[in-house]
Amino acid sequence: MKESRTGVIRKRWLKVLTLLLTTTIISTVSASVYYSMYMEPTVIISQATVIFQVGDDWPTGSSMGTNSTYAALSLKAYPNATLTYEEPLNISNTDSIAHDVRLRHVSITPASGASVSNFAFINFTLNAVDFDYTVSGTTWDTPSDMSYQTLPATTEWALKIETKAVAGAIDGVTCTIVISLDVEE
Amino acid sequence: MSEVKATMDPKCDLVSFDFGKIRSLVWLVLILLVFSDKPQNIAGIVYGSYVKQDYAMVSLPSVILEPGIVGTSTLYMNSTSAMVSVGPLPSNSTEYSDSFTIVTGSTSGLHNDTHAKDGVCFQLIESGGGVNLIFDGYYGYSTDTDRTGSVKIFVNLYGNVTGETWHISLYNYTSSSYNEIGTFSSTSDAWGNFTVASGVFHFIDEGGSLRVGINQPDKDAAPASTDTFYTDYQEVRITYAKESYDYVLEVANQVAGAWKIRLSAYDQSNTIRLENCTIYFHNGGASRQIYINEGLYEQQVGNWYDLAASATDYIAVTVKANSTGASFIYVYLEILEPNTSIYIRYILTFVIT
Repeated sequence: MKESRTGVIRKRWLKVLTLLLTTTIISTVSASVYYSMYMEPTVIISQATVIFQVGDDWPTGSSMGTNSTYAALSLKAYPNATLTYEEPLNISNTDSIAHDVRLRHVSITPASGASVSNFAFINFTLNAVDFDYTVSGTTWDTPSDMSYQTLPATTEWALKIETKAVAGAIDGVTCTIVISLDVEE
Repeated sequence: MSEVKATMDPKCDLVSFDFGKIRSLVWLVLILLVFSDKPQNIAGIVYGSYVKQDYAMVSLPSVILEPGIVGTSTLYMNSTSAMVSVGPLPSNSTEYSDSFTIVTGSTSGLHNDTHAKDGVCFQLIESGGGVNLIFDGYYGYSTDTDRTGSVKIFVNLYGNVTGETWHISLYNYTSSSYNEIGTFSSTSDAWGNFTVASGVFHFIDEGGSLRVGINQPDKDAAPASTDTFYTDYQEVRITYAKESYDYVLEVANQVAGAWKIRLSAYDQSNTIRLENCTIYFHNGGASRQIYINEGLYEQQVGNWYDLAASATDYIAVTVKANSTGASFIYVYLEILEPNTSIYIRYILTFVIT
């Protein structure tokens, strides 16, 4: 029984469609078809190679965390005057290879409200790249993630900080900023 | 089953496809889908994040600005910025001695003589005699004299002596003693010019008199009877030189810790008319901070100057302009915490009309 030419073509199309459907299923639900390989990670506690270091202008009342991977700085802001800390905190690459680093905003508290209007700005500068917090009315404008900067091997960079409160600012008003220093391995 | 092969007849090409190629293509797409994005997912996803927490607090400043005694100084809120306006310096004023009285000492000749320029002078021949020669010079202490500015006392003598070294001194009304201001020993007629430029008001009493001592062999000795001091002229002159606006601002340290301060000019307008403009600190010593000569900066940033604990430094200005108008000099007052690179910047604006 000879099959008609139209029937053959239809069958071939069906095969192609079946294959395409299979491809789609594999690519979208690929987890359903898998095989297993074993990975056996060994985690070794290591000293971070890029660390914080106390700077020459380490502010009174600041603290450095254990292993130098956490730092809390206590800064002042004077009304109608710019206060500059040229070297409050250093970022040190103790490794023999370069690492890319950047600053990334995490949080600021309070982010808005009447007390915020006492501040004019708190600016950070790393490797001549600005990372600025400014005030618009009663709200902090936070910076975008800094682009990665290449910190050469065995090199230390100073983090510069400038603060300013507005004229007539209320003595004792505070804000807390949490910034992440991201380091590419 | 073999009929399928029959359908591969080339005659059918117009309505069929090369299914083998299509199949290969689909497999290729599948492989690419599965493997293509792996390398980019691997790159750059290994990183560590360290946390830095900053706690910023508004604090009142330890160093503040206070107004000066000359010019017009405007302090802004919190006394951390200011504007100072000064005009051209006024003319110098001078007061001349207008009479003299011999207090002690013997003279063989004395007469008042009107010196054309320097006021009343007199001729004095002092021939010793065992007592100090002291004379009072009264100068024209008029109430309308502007006594601001740099004050100097000039004592000028013209004459000769018999070979000794005579000591010229001024009576210090504060310490009740004589302060030597120079010596004179010329045996032929010559000028002896003596100047006092500091602590001037210790030498002028409330009634406007000065007391000059002329003695040898020292300022407190009694000359021998054979010693002769001959003068044709002597004058006492007091000048109030308007060399500067002293002072236009104070920098007051309100805490027990010391600081260092300096001025740094960061902008300006219309300074071309300033033939000479100097802004400087003083407090005992002086430190030039900003200097404009013929309209151009010769010094734009000053050296660090000490601001002692709980002390005050002064900002003074000298200025000379060659035309009318207003010049603006924008300056940072930088206050450095010693042995650190922590500094505060205050904005000062100097307006010079």
